[in-house]
Amino acid sequence: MRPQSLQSVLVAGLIPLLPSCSDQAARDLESDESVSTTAALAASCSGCHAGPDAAIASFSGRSQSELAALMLEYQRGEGTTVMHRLARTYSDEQITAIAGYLAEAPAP
Amino acid sequence: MTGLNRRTLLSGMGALSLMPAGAAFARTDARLVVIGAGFGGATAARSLKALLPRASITLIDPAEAYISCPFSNLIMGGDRSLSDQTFPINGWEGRGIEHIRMTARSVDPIKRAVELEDGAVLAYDRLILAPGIVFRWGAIEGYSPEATARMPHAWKAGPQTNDLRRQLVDMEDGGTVYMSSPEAPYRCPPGPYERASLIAHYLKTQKPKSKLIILDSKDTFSKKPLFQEAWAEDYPDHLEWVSAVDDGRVSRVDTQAMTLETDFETHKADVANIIPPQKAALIAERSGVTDPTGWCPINAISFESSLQSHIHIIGDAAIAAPMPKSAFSANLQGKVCAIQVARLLNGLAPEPTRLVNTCYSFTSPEKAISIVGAYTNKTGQFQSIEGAGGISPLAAPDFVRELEAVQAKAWFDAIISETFG
Repeated sequence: MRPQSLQSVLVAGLIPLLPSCSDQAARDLESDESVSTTAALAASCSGCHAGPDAAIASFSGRSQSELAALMLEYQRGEGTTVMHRLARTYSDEQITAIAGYLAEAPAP
Repeated sequence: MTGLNRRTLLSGMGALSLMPAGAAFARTDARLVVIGAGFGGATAARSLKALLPRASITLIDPAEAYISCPFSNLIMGGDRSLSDQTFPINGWEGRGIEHIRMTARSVDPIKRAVELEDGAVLAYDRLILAPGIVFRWGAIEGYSPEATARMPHAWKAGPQTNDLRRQLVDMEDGGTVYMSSPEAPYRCPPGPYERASLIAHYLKTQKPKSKLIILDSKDTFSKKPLFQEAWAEDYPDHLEWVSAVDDGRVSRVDTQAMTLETDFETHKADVANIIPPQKAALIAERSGVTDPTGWCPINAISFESSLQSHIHIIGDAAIAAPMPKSAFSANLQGKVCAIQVARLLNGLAPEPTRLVNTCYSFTSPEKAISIVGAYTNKTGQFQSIEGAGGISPLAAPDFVRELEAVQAKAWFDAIISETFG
């Protein structure tokens, strides 16, 4: 997943040198995580988790495996918070993908 | 710059960075226009810029500042002020987004052009409409814009929010406050019941001989078991709910006599809060994207109008049920719609995903409850995901409610930071 993203960044840097070509752009965009299914899935997270108040934890600095483990704990746990109900939205595969995406988000 | 402000600023940047560095190679000559700088539109404009940094992006909104409806019910008891709710709509040029501080008068979906109030015309490749709601004046006989002076709706946070608070403060102890709650769909489904809870809390603590009565046009409502549990426990003498089947539907008001009429009764109010039925804002109608319900049907994957191509509708104006008309939904729809527009501009099909909604409601200044919704959109309609989502547990100890109140405040700071920060 991540190598693709790195490739996208490299391609993005080179593109001003390349002739405009919509097919090429489409192919590049296809491999760009910013418009991927995972990006759309992860878009839900920042509505609560991008704020200044520590009462809702930040995921910045956490690894993919740590974030995925937390999500699965919420999903399977019996707690009372929003996250316990929300985590059940996603399959295990989706949780892994979202966790990987968030772990790679640039630190604030 | 204070530490807090610096943290807020940095976190705001963090929020944006969750939309990863955009595809600088993506089509650069697209002209994208967003109408409405609320939770949906402002988020969409920022997301488009992050995804398509070299596209031309214009945000149209006449207001100097956005006044947030979420948390405005806390003004009823004096726990917040309108200034806490007010966020300037500025700084857009610094983000690389053109901001036109005007009203959009109409949209020509064939020529793909927006006409502004000064007659100027703005062409677009893709238009995102996030115009919010207007009220259906006359749906309740006697309820007009003029009637709001005596009977405020306060359903767009602003001067009327303060008016309603002032009327509660001025009311003598022993008075009766009436609220009329509308049929669905409307902005913020649990909002009337949060407001009723916070007014009841104010009455209980400041004017204990007074009472609030909700006259409802519905028989059920969002988080009903949790609200009713809180009311029975905290406000048994200060809050009464009358369902539609029990003659709760208000059909007429008289602001001189201060009365609300249902089918069989006339109720005399000391303070009356009328929350009228609603529909998509007028620009939606003038764009040809509303259906006979007054709301905007969309394809749930791309948010593109079912009635006009190249116009996407997000937020309260859209028909997204079972996704509610909430700030969280609008903000998320802004982000997801921007991703799908970026795909479309580059010849890629929009992709189905899963979306969620979260919504906290205060039942007192220190206690809150929540609801979570989870949705798929792969059929082109939103559908709830079975086994996911749901409401806070019933019969929970106070600390559960107090924790959700603390988290509600953190949510508010986060969504404000992401949208307006």
